[in-house]
Amino acid sequence: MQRYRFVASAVAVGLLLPACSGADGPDLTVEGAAAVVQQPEAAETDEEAAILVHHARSRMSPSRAGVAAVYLDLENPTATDDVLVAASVPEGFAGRVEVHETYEVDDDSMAGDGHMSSDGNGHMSDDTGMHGGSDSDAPAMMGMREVPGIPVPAGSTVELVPGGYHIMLMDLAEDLVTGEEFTLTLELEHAGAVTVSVEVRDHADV
Amino acid sequence: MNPKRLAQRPAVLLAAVILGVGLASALLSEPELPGVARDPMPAVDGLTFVDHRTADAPQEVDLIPDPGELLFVYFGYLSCPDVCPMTMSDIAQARDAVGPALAARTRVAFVTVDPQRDGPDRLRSYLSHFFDDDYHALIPVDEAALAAAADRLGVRYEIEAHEPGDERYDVLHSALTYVVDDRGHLVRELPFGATPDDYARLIRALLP
Repeated sequence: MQRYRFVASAVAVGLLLPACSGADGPDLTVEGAAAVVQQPEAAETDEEAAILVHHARSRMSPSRAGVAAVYLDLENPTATDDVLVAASVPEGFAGRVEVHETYEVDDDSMAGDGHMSSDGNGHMSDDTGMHGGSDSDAPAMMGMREVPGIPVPAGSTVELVPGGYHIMLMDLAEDLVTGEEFTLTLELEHAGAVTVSVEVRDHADV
Repeated sequence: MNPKRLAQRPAVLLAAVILGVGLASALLSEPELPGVARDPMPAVDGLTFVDHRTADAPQEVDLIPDPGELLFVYFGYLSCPDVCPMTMSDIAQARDAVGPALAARTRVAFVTVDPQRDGPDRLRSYLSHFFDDDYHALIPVDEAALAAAADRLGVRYEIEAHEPGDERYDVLHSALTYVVDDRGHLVRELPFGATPDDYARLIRALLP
């Protein structure tokens, strides 16, 4: 297993983002007094905000699809919550790189969003196609969307895996070929830029 | 034009009966099968697509597999980097797991819901990564054909509105896999997230 370690400058405790404290964060409700005491200490002695990236990998991109997803594990061993906010690849490798999530469409939130009427007739106009109502029997639709960031709470590991978060490469100049590697730079709010090598794998090994 | 049945071999009544009995008993005795079956099972007859598996010989086909075989029908699009290839990979891994004899009796029919971007060459290239040359690369004959199939099977999709010529748009789709038997019945549907083992168990249960 390849392991990459990158170190950024110290992060003051004042930069801790309470909103990003996930379920894996320090438990401040149980033995709260101890936690309150320990938390600043941990942050003050944490002179390096480091994020470890494991298993950076991508599925080979079949067929000039022009898109590929990168998956990886983000380990945050520090006492500082962090957020993956962006990613990039070398110039000319891909047109766009976005932090994405695969999600299930919540039909309630799409009410009035141009869903088809109940006549059930499928249609695709010149530039829009949609099909299927949102009645209770209908399966949910899956989609992808850009997210503003992926929280990586202090002391936790967040896995970007198929069906969840991924880093989406769009307008790839070339197909990704199994066995090749490419460089990906992750941008973390606190740890800063973290550059890793991404291994292109066969579809069954992702 | 009369659609050519995917089933090209002469159907043997006895084989069909044996398969039918086998299917029924398999379904009755295996309550833990992955996915769900609808009651009644929808029939897929009359739904036609153009199969672009062979570059120079596109063929109009329906969604009914050869006798004794299963067809995994999936409605997706090639610009989908996560959900679609994951499902294709899961099915490919299941076909590897069940061995060549059973694998030869299963096939994936990938129907693109995004024919504007997904041409025959790209479909073939995409599917061959997962299934060599053993697949059906289906492009809807027209919008009505896609809508008819979607209605029958319960598929949902949405193409984001975009300017003509704009190749960047989002696609939403219900990412289920529809399992069709040689009678043309939708016998099972598996949700996104079904594992290779789920698919393998289903193949073993439905193909005695």
